[in-house]
Amino acid sequence: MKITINRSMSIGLLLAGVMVLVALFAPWLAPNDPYQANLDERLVSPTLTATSEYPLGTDHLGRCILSRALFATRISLIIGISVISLSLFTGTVIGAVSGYVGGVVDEVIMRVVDAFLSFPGMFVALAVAGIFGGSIIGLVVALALVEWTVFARISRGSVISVKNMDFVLASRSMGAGNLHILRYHILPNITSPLLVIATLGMGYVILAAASLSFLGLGISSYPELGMMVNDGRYFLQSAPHVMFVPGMFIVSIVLGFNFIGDGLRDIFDPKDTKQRWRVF
Amino acid sequence: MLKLRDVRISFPSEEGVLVPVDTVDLDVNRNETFTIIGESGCGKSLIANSILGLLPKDAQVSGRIYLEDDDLLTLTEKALKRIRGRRVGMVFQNPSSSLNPVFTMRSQLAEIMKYSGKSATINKMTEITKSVGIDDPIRRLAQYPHQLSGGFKQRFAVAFGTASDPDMLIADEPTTGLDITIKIQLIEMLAQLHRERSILLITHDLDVAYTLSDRIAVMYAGEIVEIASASAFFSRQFHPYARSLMDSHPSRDMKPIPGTAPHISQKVEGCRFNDRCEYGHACCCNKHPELVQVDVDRFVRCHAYA
Amino acid sequence: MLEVKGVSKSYSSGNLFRKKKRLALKDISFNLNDHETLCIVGESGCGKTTLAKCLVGLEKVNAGMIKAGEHILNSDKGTVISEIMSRIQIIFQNPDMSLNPKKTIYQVLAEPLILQKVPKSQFNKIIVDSIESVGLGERYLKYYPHQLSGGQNQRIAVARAILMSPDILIADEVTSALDVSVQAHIVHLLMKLKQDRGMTLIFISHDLTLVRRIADRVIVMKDGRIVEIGHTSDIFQNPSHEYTKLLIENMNKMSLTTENKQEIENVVDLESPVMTRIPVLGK
Repeated sequence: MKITINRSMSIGLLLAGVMVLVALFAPWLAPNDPYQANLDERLVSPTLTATSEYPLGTDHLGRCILSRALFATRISLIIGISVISLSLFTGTVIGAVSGYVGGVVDEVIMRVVDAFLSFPGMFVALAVAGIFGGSIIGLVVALALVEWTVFARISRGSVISVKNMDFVLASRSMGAGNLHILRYHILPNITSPLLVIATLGMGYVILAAASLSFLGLGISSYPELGMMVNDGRYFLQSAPHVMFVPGMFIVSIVLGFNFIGDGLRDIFDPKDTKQRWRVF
Repeated sequence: MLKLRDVRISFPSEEGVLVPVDTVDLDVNRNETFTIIGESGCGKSLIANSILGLLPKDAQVSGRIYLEDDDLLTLTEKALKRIRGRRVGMVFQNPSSSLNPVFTMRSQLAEIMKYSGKSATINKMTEITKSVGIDDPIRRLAQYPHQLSGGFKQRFAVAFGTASDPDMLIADEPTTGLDITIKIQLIEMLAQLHRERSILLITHDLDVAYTLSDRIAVMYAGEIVEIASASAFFSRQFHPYARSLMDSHPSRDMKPIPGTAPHISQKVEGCRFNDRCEYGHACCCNKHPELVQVDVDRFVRCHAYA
Repeated sequence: MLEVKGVSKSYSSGNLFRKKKRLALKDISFNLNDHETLCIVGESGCGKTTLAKCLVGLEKVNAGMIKAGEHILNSDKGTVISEIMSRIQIIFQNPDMSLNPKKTIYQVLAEPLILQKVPKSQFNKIIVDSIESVGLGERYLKYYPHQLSGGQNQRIAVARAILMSPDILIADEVTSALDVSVQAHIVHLLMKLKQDRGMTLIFISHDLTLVRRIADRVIVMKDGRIVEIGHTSDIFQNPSHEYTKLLIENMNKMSLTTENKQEIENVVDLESPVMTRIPVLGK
């Protein structure tokens, strides 16, 4: 399949790509130690010159905001990727089994999913994060518990629409077992919608992680974007950059992944112009 | 009634400009059933859609399409809307998708009649419904599309097409996917209708064309290759493709035509059928044949008759 | 070869609390003879596709049984997945749906080989032979199904079924989504493969003109029952059941009849100035 990259895809790739590079090379890019407090230089305003010690200023403890934001981006992406992979894996497997087996199994699994969905996602995450305290693992588990239901529903729906297609029946009449059919026929046909949901989910998860941190339920031992925003809110009038800089980092990451998700959706859209000739 | 002159439909694409329909000339006379037959991908449905301006936005149509004295290609969207439904009715291929699933047949029919400026009285509606061979109109009108069988749905589709009593009906593959018994009923119904109006029938089904048509045009790879009166055509085809097509029918020799039709993006210099033609000749490969008149009411696009 | 005895099949729909039952097949019995072409005709909803699915073991029957010699293939106790079952293959109506859209033609044709545990080293040769046997070239192997036409995809579906070396091939309305000239190709292909490989063909169709041409025996179905079964000539010349009579009458109303064919041959023989010019071009 020839993939043509559309506009929202390229904006997304650019934004998210920059953020990923920033996260990867944080130790080399950061001008200062993110934990080093310098109480003599508190709430310094940004000075964007090459020689300045604190290009994006300092926070209320005199720590370098740029360095902290770079390291925080790392944490955000780690959380995002682990939550999405965890929930993508469990959600897809559970949803696929539910859709493929059908019957009572399907009913039971879908009622469990409904139970999860009946709580507002944020409250589940809040509760779990409260129990686990401020560890990364706690945060990941909390968010994954909310996120897996989305993948379970999507994969169940896709599996149901694929499993009775003629090519699956043909495969069964050739003596294929369930595992072969799931791997060879069903999986390749449900990846596109899942991929779109996964990229869009990335943005949501990172935002949710930041929100939890903002509320004080995130991780406390590392710099975190949501927590940085929270720190800045007391100085919103005197030193707005303390809140603004981490805020912009969150926006860039989330927008980047959302744009990629939108772009992917357009690419996978069956009403692609190239296929139009099949209609006539 | 309807005249197409030098109609050409093109689409821009990555592989350059595609021309799925090229230089089509045809006339549909008053009260006649004119059939375009051809295989999938030959462009016949595009012609049907181009008449009422229903093609996708990026399609470019050149040439002239006259409905009586109006040149439809120069009309504004607003003027076209007045022609659709009122002067030209349309029946689409798939009734399950051309009927709105959330309204009863009655409210859909009323909508169409109101839109075309007719008063939608229940008497009038039952009359129209009866005219398409539905025996218990009151009950059927109260039903939703999913409560009707395929045959009834297609009859309602025809009823919608003829609701405002247009002079002309365009039927695009109206019998595809119907069972033979229902197909026969639909054909008999269309045969009834055609006494009062012109029908442009688009089909790939030779049996349907044989049963209904007054005149026939055969399309191949975007061009009309033969036009003839139906009786003359079915007793003898002039163009080699038309003959091969007839021979591939199960009631004939069922002889397959070797090869496949050229793809839309393929530019063919000479005759578009030349690589599959058993009478192929050197001049067929490099010179494009014109549609020439070979008999009273018979036009053929083949060098053999030029 | 295959014995179908008193087969019934019903589907249940609805949810856990309210079940609806719909009888799709009622007491179907017939024998399938070696090397014959058996056509099943009937209108949509008559159960012919359900019968096909029961025959290949995709659906379990509710009553009765399907036997191949001594082996029970399908009964109310379930279907048997065995060597014998995989020797009955099916080709579906819609070629665009019967091939996995995410697999290349090569991968489509590799699937039966994977399932039969053929060594990977032989794949290439077998697949190339197989695609050529259905009249397509090696170059098509790298394409995806959506890049091919309906007729070409249907050939691939035939090739895939043949790679299982079936004894019985069930063709379920394989030509009704195709144009006449392509239909002729596919039917010729099936008849040739049947001849070459000594297969038995069950051809399901609603097109009586076509059935009359290719069938040895015909089964007429209506509302899940067999209303008539017999040799093609008997069915078409002396139909006994009212429904069969109706179908044949409809066929005669519609179809380009055979009398017309006579007329054509006469016309072609005429030495009209136009007609003589075409053959001249051929030389």
